[in-house]
Amino acid sequence: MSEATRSTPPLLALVVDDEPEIRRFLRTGLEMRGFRVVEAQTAREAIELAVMRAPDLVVLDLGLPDADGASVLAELRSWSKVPVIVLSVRSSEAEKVALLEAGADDYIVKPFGMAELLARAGVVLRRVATRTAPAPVLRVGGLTLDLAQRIVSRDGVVLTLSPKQFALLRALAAHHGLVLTHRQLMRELWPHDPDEDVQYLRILMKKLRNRIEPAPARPVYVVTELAVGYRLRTQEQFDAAGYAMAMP
Amino acid sequence: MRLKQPLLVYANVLLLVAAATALAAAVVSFATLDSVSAIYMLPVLVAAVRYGTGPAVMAALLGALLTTLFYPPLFNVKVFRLPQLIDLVTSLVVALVIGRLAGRLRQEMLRARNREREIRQLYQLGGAMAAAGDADTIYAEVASHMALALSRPVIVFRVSRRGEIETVRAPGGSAAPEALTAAAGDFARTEATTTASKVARVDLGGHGDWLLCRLGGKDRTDAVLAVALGDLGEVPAEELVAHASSILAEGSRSLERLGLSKTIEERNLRQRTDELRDILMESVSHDLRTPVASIMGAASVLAAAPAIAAAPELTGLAGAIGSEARRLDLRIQNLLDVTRIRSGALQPRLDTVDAADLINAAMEGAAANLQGRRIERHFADDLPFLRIDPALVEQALINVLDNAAKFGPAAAEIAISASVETEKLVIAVRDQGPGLDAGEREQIFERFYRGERHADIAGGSGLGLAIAKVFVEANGGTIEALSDGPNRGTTMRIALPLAADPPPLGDDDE
Repeated sequence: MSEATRSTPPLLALVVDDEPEIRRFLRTGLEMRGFRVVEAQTAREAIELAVMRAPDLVVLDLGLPDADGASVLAELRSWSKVPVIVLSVRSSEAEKVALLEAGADDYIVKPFGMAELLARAGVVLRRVATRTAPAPVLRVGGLTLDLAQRIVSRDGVVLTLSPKQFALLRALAAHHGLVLTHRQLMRELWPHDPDEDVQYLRILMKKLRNRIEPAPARPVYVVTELAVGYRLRTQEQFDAAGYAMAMP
Repeated sequence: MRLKQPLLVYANVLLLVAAATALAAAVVSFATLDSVSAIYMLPVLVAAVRYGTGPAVMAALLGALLTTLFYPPLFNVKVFRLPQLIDLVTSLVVALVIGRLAGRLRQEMLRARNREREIRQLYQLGGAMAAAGDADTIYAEVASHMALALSRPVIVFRVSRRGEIETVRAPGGSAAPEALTAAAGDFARTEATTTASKVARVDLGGHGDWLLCRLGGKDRTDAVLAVALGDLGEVPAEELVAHASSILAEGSRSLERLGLSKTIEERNLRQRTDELRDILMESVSHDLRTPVASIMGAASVLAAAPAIAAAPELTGLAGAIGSEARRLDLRIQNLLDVTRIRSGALQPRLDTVDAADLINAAMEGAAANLQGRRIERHFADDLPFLRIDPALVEQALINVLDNAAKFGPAAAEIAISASVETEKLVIAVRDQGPGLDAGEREQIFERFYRGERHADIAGGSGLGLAIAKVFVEANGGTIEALSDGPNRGTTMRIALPLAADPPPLGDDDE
């Protein structure tokens, strides 16, 4: 984590989990990447530490003994914008959606490897760093997004997008590397009618992919998190997926 | 009228008349009386009220005879004259009227007393049956109550669900006559077609008259009680039937209540089982998967640690720990899925999903097992939207892909195709593995099935395809295994329902 190592003093991560062995590997893994780590076992401790130590990153488990993680998140979000990555279990898509909409920046499904978590941490931390001044030009693989000039090109060829398609891409770019739920995107794109049929969004996404993806049936830039939402990949995520060789 | 000892009664009447005569004699010796007939009214009244019309008439006759003693000259029995005749007629009228009235009163009283006894008995029966926990106890209670109330032997026949009949209680341990058993069986069956009355009388010739009584819930007969009528005596048959009916109604109510409480008990049990299963699944899920998550996370930290990264064989070991932990986690997930299916807790949450997204997600989920495989994709250009539970169908697809990766030779490719066929999206996964013979095509979807030839190639729990089948079918889809024969590869065909036509996208004109 270049951000963590470069920063002085090093970034502080708050790890909230009631399982000591999970906390132990998270601490070791995060410290190896230059984070300082504080640990909380309960929701109460988590809030106390978040107030006292003002961490730069929170890794939050959902199953806490004294309260569920969602209430910790809600409490935290009432006064803090600290990036939060939620540790979730499989087959709880509805829960993931609810947490993302309640202000979680990203989630990771147990069991997971440290590399996955560090990659997500990198994305959410970069977003904080660029929150005040978003990068005017984003590059993912062959795709270039010039948000200021409203120019989208792939492999040097400028692509024609409809205003709605561009708006969708811009909304995803504003949370580059992070998942946006269907509802979050609906609010962004149809601010006057956010409860409109989600199917409009799915079709719009299909059209956007037809324009920007080299193989729309197998998207590499804007990927789907099934039953949760969409994500515009960062360069790192794009590389990690290893699509370069798999392209037809 | 209850005249147990008529002689004693008439002796009493004599005594009463004698007492009246003594009283009259005593009175006339002190004062003159125009008529002593008033005094002789007393024994008539007392006899009428206490003993009824007969004794009262006797008192009246005796009284009329004896009044002649008191007409001048005193204490001389004379022939009847007009005043005595008037006395006689008056006494007789009084005797008849009062006797009648008193008799009716007494009968009313007796009836009221009987009714009170019946009610008390029914009440006791109700109490006994409220405590009864099973049908047989209720039959026995009703039968013994009826035997007591009607003063007649009662035989109980139990009627099984299939209409078979069986004696459960016969007084004195004697077997019920066969003719009676047959009649009870017929009686139990007639009800199925008609709403016959609760009670019927049958004449079994040599075996006498019987009253058959039906005991049971609203629309079925649980038991038949047979009451031996024998000599009816003075009790009218209708009264007996009415009495039997009220006892039966009480018994039937108890049986219904028993059925109801049984249903409630079963439902409570089912609810408790559901709760227990949920708790168990949650705790198994948590208790097994948390250590697995710790192992996998720790292995990933080790693999990246500088000291180990420098030694490739150690990095490999750390990686193996991690990937084995993930495999273990998938096995646990399979077991949880099977538990969920077995307990009927599977409820698809339908959503509209882009078919391409679904297949991509499944391939990502199976990526660890597909690593290094050549994957050939044959997708139609514009895949439709599906109406499915994405989590379930994704898991089904992952299991099918895992299976293909497991059994296909490492060098051979796996082909995935998707296209619309007759209102369904068909996803086909083809491997070049050991293939299937005709029998195996069905068997591979059975739990724990592992083909002999297949077991040599790869291990596994034998759950993956069984789960895939249930998940796909729960979403209104179908899955089938096709093969040209042993060693000629296998194709899994999954057909999934399409979403309804999407709404037009109005504000995105291009």
